Formats: sequence, structure tokens, C-alpha cells
Amino acid sequence: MKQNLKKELKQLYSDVPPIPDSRKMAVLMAQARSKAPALPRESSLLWFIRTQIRFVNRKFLLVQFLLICLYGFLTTAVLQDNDAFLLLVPFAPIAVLLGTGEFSRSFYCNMTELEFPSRFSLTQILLARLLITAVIDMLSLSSMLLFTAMKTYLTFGSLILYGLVPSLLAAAGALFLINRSRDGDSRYYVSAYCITLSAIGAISLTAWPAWYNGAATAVWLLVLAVSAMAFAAEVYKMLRDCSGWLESAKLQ
Amino acid sequence: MAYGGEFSDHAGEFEKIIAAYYEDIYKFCFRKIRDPAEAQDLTQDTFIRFMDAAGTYVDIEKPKALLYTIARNLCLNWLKRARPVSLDEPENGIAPVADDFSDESIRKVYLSIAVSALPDDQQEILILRYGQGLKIGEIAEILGLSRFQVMYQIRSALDRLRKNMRKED
Repeated sequence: MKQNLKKELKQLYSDVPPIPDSRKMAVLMAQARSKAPALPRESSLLWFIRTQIRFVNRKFLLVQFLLICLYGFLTTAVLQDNDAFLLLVPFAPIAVLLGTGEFSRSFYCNMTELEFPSRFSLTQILLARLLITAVIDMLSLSSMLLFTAMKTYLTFGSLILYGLVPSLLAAAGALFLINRSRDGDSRYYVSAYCITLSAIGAISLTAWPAWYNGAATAVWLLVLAVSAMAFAAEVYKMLRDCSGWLESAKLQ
Repeated sequence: MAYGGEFSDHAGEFEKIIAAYYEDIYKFCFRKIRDPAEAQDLTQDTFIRFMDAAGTYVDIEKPKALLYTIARNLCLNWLKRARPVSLDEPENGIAPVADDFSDESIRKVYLSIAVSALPDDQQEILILRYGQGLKIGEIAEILGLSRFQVMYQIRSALDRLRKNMRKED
């Protein structure tokens, strides 16, 4: 019945008489030939992302900044030399948690805030939003790495590994949860997951020090590769799903 | 990722746009005003205005949306000026053929009457979606609504249409 009505509507609207005078179109074409095309050139990706930045909550930026300040203070003023890296593993998922909190806001608001002002597709908007969040998270992580590098005996390569693995694990898991729970509850799941990850990281530093030996580097690299692939898969799933949401949404 | 329109990088852009959308715009105008000759005049006017606007309008990334917007406004102006339609005149240009009393034809007439009983904005949104085959996003752009508002209006129009059809049955 529902599909029939749509089909009948299409049939009803298909009854259009042919164009009465095809010469008029030729006249229009001649007019078009004489006009210099003045359509604007394409907008750059940078321009599009810049337009999206204004939708990012200022509180999110402020809290990220405060987190870095706290990290910097604890690392440089409170912790002893060589202990500085103790904070990196538990802090990295927290930085991601803040970013995903901003990102998931769009989901539990049913995309309204994204959709209302925009003429771009949801895929483009989400990709831009994801990129902005990822850049901010990466800046936070880089700042943490710099603070840590100033006070630790570990090589910068190891630090990057210890910072990236928890971040990617947090980001992949968060996207996994957001993709499967597009409602207000997703932020609680994501918070619980990231805090658990952070707690495991904090506990592991004292409970399982062997994790941070040189011999465990191969395992860290493996986890890095797996989490990167999981993250890429979740981004792909999110973009694929959102490109089909609106056009395939049931209208009746 | 390129956000430019498909026509923005080529020479003879206007001709390509006319070739691609002339018939669609004519059909849209006809569905709105139900007069073939006037619909073609409005189509001509739409493209002339489009070419004039293209030089100054800074946001022509999707010519389709702008074309429909111009055509829609021209049709609305024309309808305002046009004399009131006689109540006996068939709606949507679809009248039952005198010797065609098949179920299909009768249902088509019922549907036509049910559609014409809808408010103008709902009729318009159905034309854009099912007559012109536009996507939700494109309709949203033309009507200046959000996609969710468009989806809601289509659903409301279909529900109302179904109710009208039941009455006719």
C-alpha cells in the first residue's frame, strides 16, 4: 500500500506534455554561448573545515587546554624525573574522551545541529567534524609528549608508542560504541570505556611494569596496528552509514 | 574531496546546465502551473535569470538547487497573477478519458483529486520528491528547510494523501 502510493504518485506526475517549442531552447543556448561563464570555482576543503570550526563547543577547547595545563604542571613541577611518563598512558584516553564527547553530541542531538545550517552532505560534515576533533586531540597528545620528553629517560619513539596506543584504542572503542548506540546513552558508554582504559593504564604502570620493557615493544606495535585498523574500519562504517541515513530513511 | 559543482571547471558551463536541466525545469513548471506554453516561458525565464545571477551569486556550487529555486519563485509569481481557476477545470491536467473507465484510470483521478486537496506546500514537496525525483537534501536546499523538516513534511503529506484517498474510496 505504502509503496503503491509512491508508485502511483510517480505515475501521476509522469503525465507531462512534451516541450511545445523546441526552438526556444535553441535560442536560449545561443544566448548562453554569448555569456561568459562566471560560476565561482570550487570551495576548498580548508574553507569547508573552517566553516565547521565555529560549531565546535568552546567549552571543549577550554577543557582540553586545562587538561594540557594540568598535565604540564604535574609532569614538570610535581613528578620526579623519569616518572614523568607515568601520566602519559592514563591521560591519553582522557584527551580522546573529551574529543569524542564533542563528536558524539552530534549523534544524540539527532544530527539536528549539523543538518539545520548546512547544505553539505552528512558524510562531508561528519568527516570535517571528525578531522577537527582528531587534530585537536593530536595537538593535546603532542603537547603531552613534549612535556613528558623533557623529563624522561625514554626515547621519543617509545613515548609516541605509549601515547598513541591508548589514544587509538580509546578512539576506536569510542567510535565503535557511538556507531552502535546513536542516542544519548552513547556518551555514558564512551565515558565508562575511556575511564576504564585510563584506569587500566594507570594500574598497569605499577602492577605490570613488564608491559613497559623494551621486550614488550613488539606487542605495543601489534596493538597499535590492530587499533589503527579498528579505528579506520569504524570511521568507514560511520561514513557509509550516514551517507545512507537520510535517503533510505523510512518516510511512512 | 571536491565540493565544487560538476559544472564549475568547464567551458560552456551554461550550455551544459541548460542541456542537463531544461526538461526537468519545464516539467516542474508544468506541474506547478499546468499550462505547457506558459511553463516553457517560465523555463526560459528561469535560465535567463540563472545566467544573470551566476555572475553575482557567490554560492553556486549546485546549479540544480538555484534553478529550482528560481523556477519555483517564478511559478509562484505567475500563480498569484493568474486568474482563479474554474472549479470545473481538472486539477493537475489529468482528466478521466471519456471512454476509459478502467480501475487504474479511476484511481488516478481519485489520486489527482486527493493531491489537489492537499495544502500548496505539501503538493509542492510531493512534486519535488516524486515528480522531479529530487533527493531530500536537494529539496531542503530549494525550500530553505532542514532535511528533517523535509522528511517530516513528506511523511505528513503522504499520511494526509492516504486519508484523502480513503475518503474517496
